[in-house]
Amino acid sequence: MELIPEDRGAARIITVRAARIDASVAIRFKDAVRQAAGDWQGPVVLDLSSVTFLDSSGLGALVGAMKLLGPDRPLELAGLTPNVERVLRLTRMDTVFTIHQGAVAAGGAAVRPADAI
Amino acid sequence: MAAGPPREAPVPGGEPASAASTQVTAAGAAAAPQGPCRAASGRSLTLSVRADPASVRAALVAATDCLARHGVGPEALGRVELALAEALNNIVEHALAGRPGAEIGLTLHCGLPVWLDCELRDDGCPMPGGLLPRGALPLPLPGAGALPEGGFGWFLIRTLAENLRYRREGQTNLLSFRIRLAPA
Repeated sequence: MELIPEDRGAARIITVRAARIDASVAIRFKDAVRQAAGDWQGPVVLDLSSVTFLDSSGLGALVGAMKLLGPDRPLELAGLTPNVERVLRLTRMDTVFTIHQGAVAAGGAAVRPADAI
Repeated sequence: MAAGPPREAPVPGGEPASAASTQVTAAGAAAAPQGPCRAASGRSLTLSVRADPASVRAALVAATDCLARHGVGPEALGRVELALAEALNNIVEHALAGRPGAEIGLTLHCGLPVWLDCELRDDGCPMPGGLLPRGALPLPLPGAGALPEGGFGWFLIRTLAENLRYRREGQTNLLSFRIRLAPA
């Protein structure tokens, strides 16, 4: 699992290089998001276009990371693959997170997520 | 540790046949069953899964690989994987908490292309009160600062699965459910 931060305008984009955010990595993932966000002030966008599986533990880590960052540094999501989108939709968490369509391409334009498995 | 490739047995009359067990552990070479996968209709696949998160992950990958090779599409596969993940994680975190060496028996009975019956057994603690959790979402969702970070597992299982049943037989927990693969 690798998280790559990149600052773009007002937002810090964190690209998540991991295929699965599940019970075996949930705690590490939450901590890695906090580290990658660092002391950035402003929106933090997680690009999840590499993530093909999310379980409720991974969802809990996303919620936990959002709470850790607090209201001044809203955690937003981009590049949801179908399995990730399903978990967020079923649990209504798609109403809690701001979700950007597609992945966040270089230059800030949204692109279509990579073909999901 | 490795018991070789999984062997599946026909399921005469809808009764589960005894299928050879394939041990699934995080580090083991048998993490993903090798060889031909015969999870065709009327057959079953049995995996023995060690009660730790990495072994659960390996078992999910093995099971979904097998189903994918038999033509289960990505949408149904995603629902199967999520329901199995939540059921297995619950056993690891509750019934078998603190017993990472214990094993969970996972059997998939294939009624391809229409349905998949899933059975999980473990010798851990019984469900409190002998009942499955209700798994209701806390609606309306509270403000961001008060959102729960857990407790979604049973909600997801109940949403994705049909024929959800739990019973205790002696010292064994038996959980079963059906996932519809194709529209009714």
